[in-house]
Amino acid sequence: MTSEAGCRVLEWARSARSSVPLGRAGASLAELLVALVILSLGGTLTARALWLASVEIEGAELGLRAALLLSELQDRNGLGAAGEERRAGPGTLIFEGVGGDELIVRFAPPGAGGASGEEAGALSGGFGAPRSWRLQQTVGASGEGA
Amino acid sequence: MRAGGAEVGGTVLELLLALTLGAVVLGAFVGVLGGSLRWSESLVARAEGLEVIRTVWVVLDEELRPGIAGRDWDVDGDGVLLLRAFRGVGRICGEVEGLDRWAVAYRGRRLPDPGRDSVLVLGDDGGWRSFELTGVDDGGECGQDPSHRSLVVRWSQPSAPPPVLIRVFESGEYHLADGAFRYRRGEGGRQPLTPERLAPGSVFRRAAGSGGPLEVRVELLPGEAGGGAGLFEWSVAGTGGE
Repeated sequence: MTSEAGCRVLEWARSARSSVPLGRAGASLAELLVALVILSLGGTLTARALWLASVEIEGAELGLRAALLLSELQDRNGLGAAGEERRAGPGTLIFEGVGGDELIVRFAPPGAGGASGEEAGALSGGFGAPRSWRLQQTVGASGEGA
Repeated sequence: MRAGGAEVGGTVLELLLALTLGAVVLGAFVGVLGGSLRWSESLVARAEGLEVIRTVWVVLDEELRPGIAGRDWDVDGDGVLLLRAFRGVGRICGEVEGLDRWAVAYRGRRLPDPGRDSVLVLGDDGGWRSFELTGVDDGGECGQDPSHRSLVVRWSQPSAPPPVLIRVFESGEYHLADGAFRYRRGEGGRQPLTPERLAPGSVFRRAAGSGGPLEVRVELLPGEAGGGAGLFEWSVAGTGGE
């Protein structure tokens, strides 16, 4: 009985095998390649999105550090002269000048090597509206703007 | 029996190949998914950390700038920031009944609440005195200027010199404790204003009696995925010292 059942299963498997078209294995490989491409594309897009978000957050952190420092310096010393560097708290501010009601400063976060650091960003903003400072350019090796 | 041995061997080979490739694809998929999840969690932790810093900064800036260091706020020995949290200001328009009720043109973040507020009263001698706020009613004769609200205000003792201006405040405390930036009003509990991301090294400092600014040091713990740690230090000055 068992042997008969086994023979039936084998016969079914053979018939199923014989019904598969000859090109089926090739088609499976193509499908696999398509799946791989889709997967790679999805992974790449996800990584790109996450990297952009990372750059945005890095820019936001720079802006926040700069705003904190600028606020503190305004409290302590008023505004600086062009070219003056102030080191206090988390980083360095380099005053580049004043135009109209705009204060132009460059901000170098800790470890960026001061004014020449590649991670230095630039801020501009009005005297009377310290929270409107806008990060003009950031950050790091990516060169992405925030 | 059509199937020969070669055909069966080919099927096994295909099966092995399919299994191997399937494992590779699945492994790559799981790897990409896991990496993306960890990365995104790290980004969320960093964004949350920045939000914590921004909250501490904005709240302290708003609360301390209207006050005078040493008189309206100070840091005690345990690193607790004690302050008069000003909620509004009122110009005295006139006396209503007797000596202890005054019509006031009031402007502020919220209406005065006798259950929790006090008043700092400026007398016409130029001195400030603080009293308990005991009553607030609508009314008074302070004109129809939409920028203020006419109220009748009463405080615990009649002012000896006639009052000119009042500032309404609640007594509060800010803490950097138990992992969060917290506010405590009066004798109530400490309510967290931020997520619990602060390291024990986060402190408020102020040199005693110097009239100097408040120094804030906030150290962020890393999030669960490992990102978002950082150290932020800055200072906040009031309007002056005494």
